[in-house]
Amino acid sequence: MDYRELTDQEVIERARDGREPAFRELIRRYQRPVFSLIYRLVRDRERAEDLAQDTFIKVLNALDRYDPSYKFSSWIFKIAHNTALDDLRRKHPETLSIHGSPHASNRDEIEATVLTPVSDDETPEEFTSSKEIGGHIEKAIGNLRVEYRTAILLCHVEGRPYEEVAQIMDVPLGTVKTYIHRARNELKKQLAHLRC
Amino acid sequence: MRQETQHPQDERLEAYSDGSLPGNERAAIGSHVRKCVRCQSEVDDWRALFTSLAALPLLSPSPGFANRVMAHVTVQQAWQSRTAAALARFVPRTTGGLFVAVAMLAIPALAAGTLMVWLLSRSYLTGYRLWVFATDQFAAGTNQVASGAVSRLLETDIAVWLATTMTALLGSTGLRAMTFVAGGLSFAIVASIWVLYRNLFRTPNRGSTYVSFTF
Repeated sequence: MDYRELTDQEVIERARDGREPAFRELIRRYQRPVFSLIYRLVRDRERAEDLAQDTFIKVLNALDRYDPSYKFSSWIFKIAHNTALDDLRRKHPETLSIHGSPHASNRDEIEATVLTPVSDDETPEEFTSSKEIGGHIEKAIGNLRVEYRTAILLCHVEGRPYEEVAQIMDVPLGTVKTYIHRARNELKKQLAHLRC
Repeated sequence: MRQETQHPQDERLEAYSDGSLPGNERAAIGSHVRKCVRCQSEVDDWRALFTSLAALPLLSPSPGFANRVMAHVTVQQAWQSRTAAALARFVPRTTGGLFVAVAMLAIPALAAGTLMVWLLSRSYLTGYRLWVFATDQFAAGTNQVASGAVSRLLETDIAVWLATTMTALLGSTGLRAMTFVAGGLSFAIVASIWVLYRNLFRTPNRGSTYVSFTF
């Protein structure tokens, strides 16, 4: 059976029937979006790996309690967001760097923690030039308040509609709109030097 | 190009740029933007920002991520999932529902507690006497059920056949050989229970296979 052709709900039904490939399909579909969100929130690869792993373990072990009237993506992002927030409350945030974790103390650690894009259709040249702009944006996002950062990442990077962002962040729709408006304005100010 | 003096508010231009304005307002602002260099530049800036954000790459966890996750995931069999889901339906989801459920559970507990307090407050009843009474009743009931079951079993044809066969077997093979056979059978039974337990309750993850054994 090709699980790639099934909808999320169909994959979940099969996972509930005890089929391990269905669990792996859910991981395959969401590991990059979930990891990207968490990494950009906590800004440390090692912590992001652990938190993304915790998120999937919580989600996959609780599939029986999943309410199909909600989108699966909302549910998993909500758990990812809460897991990252809990971690951020416990630890001090660090400065984001696309060149590796600020904790890295040697070359191996720097290479191990560097941000790695996985866009299949991007050539190395395109990546090098986009890395320049992307680096500024990543840094600007890293300077945002965590609520603004979450909202902007979910809305613009993950492409989630405002209503879903509100559900994930557990705040009213109006609050999400305010967060996004303020985040955009801050980003625009921070990136003004790139315009010319 | 003629410049409009009444520029739309920044929020409106931002909403126009992300396409979230309703049709009529969108048309009005679009008409202004086409004629106003300043507002056109503002819209271009917003759109450049949105494009750059959308172009941020997805990041990938290190290889083996799925295996590390699956090492901590319990893959339940269908009947386990259905039972869990059926039980989950009885768990209240709202505060009100939870309150009612707690109240309903508290009523019999409170009634039993009150009855116990009342009984213990009687001079002719002590905790020790109640304990003796309860254990006596339990022992008598257990004894009655067990003796009834054994006598019914002994009355059956299978029990008679089993006793006759075992006596004949013991006479022909001897006690030592029978002990070996009984030991082997006990081992087989324990091993079978273990295999059943592994396959029913500890279903495989991380690519492990179902447990089985052959003689």
